[in-house]
Amino acid sequence: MNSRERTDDELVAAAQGGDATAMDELLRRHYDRVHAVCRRIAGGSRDADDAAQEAMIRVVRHLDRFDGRSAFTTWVYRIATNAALDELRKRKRRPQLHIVDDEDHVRPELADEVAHRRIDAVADRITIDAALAGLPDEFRAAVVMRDVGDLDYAEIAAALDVPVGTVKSRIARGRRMLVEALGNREPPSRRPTDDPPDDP
Amino acid sequence: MNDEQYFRANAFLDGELTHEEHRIAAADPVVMAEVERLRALRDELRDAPPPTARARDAAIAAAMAEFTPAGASETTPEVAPPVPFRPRPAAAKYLAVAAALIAVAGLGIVVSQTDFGGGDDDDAASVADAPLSEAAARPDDEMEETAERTLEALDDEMMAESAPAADADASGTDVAGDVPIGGAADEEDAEGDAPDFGADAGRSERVVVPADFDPDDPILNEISLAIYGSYLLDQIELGELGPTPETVCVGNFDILDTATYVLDGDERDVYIAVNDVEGFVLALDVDTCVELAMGALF
Repeated sequence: MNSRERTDDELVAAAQGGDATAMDELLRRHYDRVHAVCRRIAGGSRDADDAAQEAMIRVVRHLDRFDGRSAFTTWVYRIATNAALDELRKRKRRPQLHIVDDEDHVRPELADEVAHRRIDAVADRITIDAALAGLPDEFRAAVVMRDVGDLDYAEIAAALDVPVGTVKSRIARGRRMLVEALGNREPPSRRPTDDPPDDP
Repeated sequence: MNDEQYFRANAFLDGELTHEEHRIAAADPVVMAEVERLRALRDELRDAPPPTARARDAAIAAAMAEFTPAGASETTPEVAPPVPFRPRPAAAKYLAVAAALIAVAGLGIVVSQTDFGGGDDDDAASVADAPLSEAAARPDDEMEETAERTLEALDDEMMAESAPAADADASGTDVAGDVPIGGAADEEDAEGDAPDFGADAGRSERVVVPADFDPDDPILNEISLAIYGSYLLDQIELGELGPTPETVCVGNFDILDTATYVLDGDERDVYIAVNDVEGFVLALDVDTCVELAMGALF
């Protein structure tokens, strides 16, 4: 095996030829960002885990259909976006009691500095999750693909199969809605720790 | 801040401005203040909690379980839910054609008993009392001819399937050989020999497509969505379905067409996704793949 890191294209070609190591490497390389995209679209971390896993499975199942006309990342994030939206749709059909972060079991009684910061970080997270949840799916997908997936307008347009102008508009309007939902607060580093989270 | 400044701030943050636009934006303090605010928002969005190692390993293991080392192309068949749409096998078509023939023959019998006797090829001369107005409008000999041609086509196809090496022109007709009932479908069906007509057994009839159905009309509700889905399946059975849209929407269905769906008074472009095994039709938003409506096929 080469000592230098193989490009996505090389790994895709090898995986399409049946190289399991290449397939595994490709999945590991992109999993974290796929998960981040899913996390921001689907909301909860368990949903994100499920969506990211589903996205990985779809990548493997459909790799033979990837023809290289777009970047592999574009293709993968498109799949991740769809998987996350599917997960969201499933969740909407399930009864929900309230928003929880199922990874961070906050224990307010730990009243030290670290605990306070942690509680605050969790509050931020819940707040932004709630704000994201208030966006229409198509806006959220565009914003997340841009800000989390780091895809450019053209890639997002290709991924969502809409014109670039639509992407531009959805991102701008989505961000405006997020900012409004989050309130006119300062950036997190400067925000007072006892700010109550704003619900959209 | 006006809209132009706001959009410019967004494009600045995203690196989507030309050099000149970038210069103008950078000189505008209002734009730059908004850029900072949006940047802070982006940082928050990026600060998503990382996945656990366990979730990562589980996801990759699950995905790799789908991988066939012999070649990625062999991994295509979906293992979990039985998704892939398979054209209905010939036997199902025979049943459908036979049902149609019975109906036509029944009509002929009713008409002939009611009215005239035989005659050269027009024993269904009177159509005044025929239950189907469309049939009434059609000359009887044409109906008869159609039935004969269908029978011949059916015979030919059955013979060709049961004895592929047999002479193709055994029936001596020039119509049957051109009927593309089996050909294209068989090619597509190469991956799965398992007959799926059994899936229909024991359940009610598929939604009937009305004679005045126009596929170009907007879909108004779940019922017309179901009819549209049924129409598409008919098209497949006839080998007349056009190219299916390219889409990234993935799910327990096959996307067969695009259409317009009227939802709350708004016309939405949708993909028509069909699962003939589970018997549903979905209208999916073309932008997001989100399901807008579902119709029942059976």
